[in-house]
Amino acid sequence: MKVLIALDSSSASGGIINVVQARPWPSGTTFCLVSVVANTTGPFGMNDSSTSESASSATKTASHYLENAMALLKKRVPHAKVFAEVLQGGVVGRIVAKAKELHTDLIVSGHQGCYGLGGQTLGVVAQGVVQRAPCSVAVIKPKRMATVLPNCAHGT
Amino acid sequence: MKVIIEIEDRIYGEAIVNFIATQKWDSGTSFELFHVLDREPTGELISELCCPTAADLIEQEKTAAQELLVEMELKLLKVVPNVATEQKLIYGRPKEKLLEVIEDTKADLLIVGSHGRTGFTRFLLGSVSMAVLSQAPCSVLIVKLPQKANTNSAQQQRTDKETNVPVASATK
Repeated sequence: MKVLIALDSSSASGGIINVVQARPWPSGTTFCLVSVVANTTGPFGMNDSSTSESASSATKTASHYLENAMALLKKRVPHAKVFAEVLQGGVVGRIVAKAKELHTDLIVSGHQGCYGLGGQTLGVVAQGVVQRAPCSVAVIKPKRMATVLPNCAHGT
Repeated sequence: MKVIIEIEDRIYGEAIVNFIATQKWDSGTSFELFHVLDREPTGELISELCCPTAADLIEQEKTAAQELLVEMELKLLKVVPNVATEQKLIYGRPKEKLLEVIEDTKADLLIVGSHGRTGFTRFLLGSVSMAVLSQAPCSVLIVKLPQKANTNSAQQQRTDKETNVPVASATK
């Protein structure tokens, strides 16, 4: 089974990893962790040194976060194959394209993430992924995490 | 772990059961299957209709829904034999009823089928699914029908300038 897990650097992503690592997974499961760094452009579509620095910094942060998440998942689900990738571009489009490329069976996404609107509203990214995904999608919500994960309800 | 499954029709019911079969489930997991009928076959309604055919149709709809639930429960037990299952037919507006069921049962996970099977509608999630996804207090799994392999490549070429940065890759 191939599972694509969409993460950003928010605390909600820590919750997603907690939920995933607590679930029993069949042997032969492959996890692909992805984080998308949105394209950034300066005024009038121009790129200057500050926008490229900002993109580079965001890529480094995402890469570091994914390394930690990957290490945790490998430790907790030792029979699974795990790899990670930072993608650049439109968040929903890149997640959906990656799922198609890998022929994933499941996408795991947060409810809000950094791109969400907060509160009870479904995040824009989660909504877009659910609408356009080629496969089933699990949207992880934090409220019942304590029930699912009594020992690790407060992040990674 | 308590899992609520909305069985709306046979096609998505089977897709959900097939998806569940690909997963591992703890023996303490319980599955509750629900089908929501949006009108209750009360005596009042039937007498208002004053039409035996309509009453028959309502009764047939109820029977068909009950048979569907039993069929899906049996299929579920076949693929995950060591879990507790229940099934129930409920009446009311699907969105409100599903949210009520989640609250009443303190469910950890809701599984629903996405809707729209071919062409453009394949990209649209049903309004009930979207509303429940947005408002449910628990995690939600939206099961889609398996895609035909040959539709992948044609629709893939959307988008954005792409750059992939591999972080690392490892097995075990």
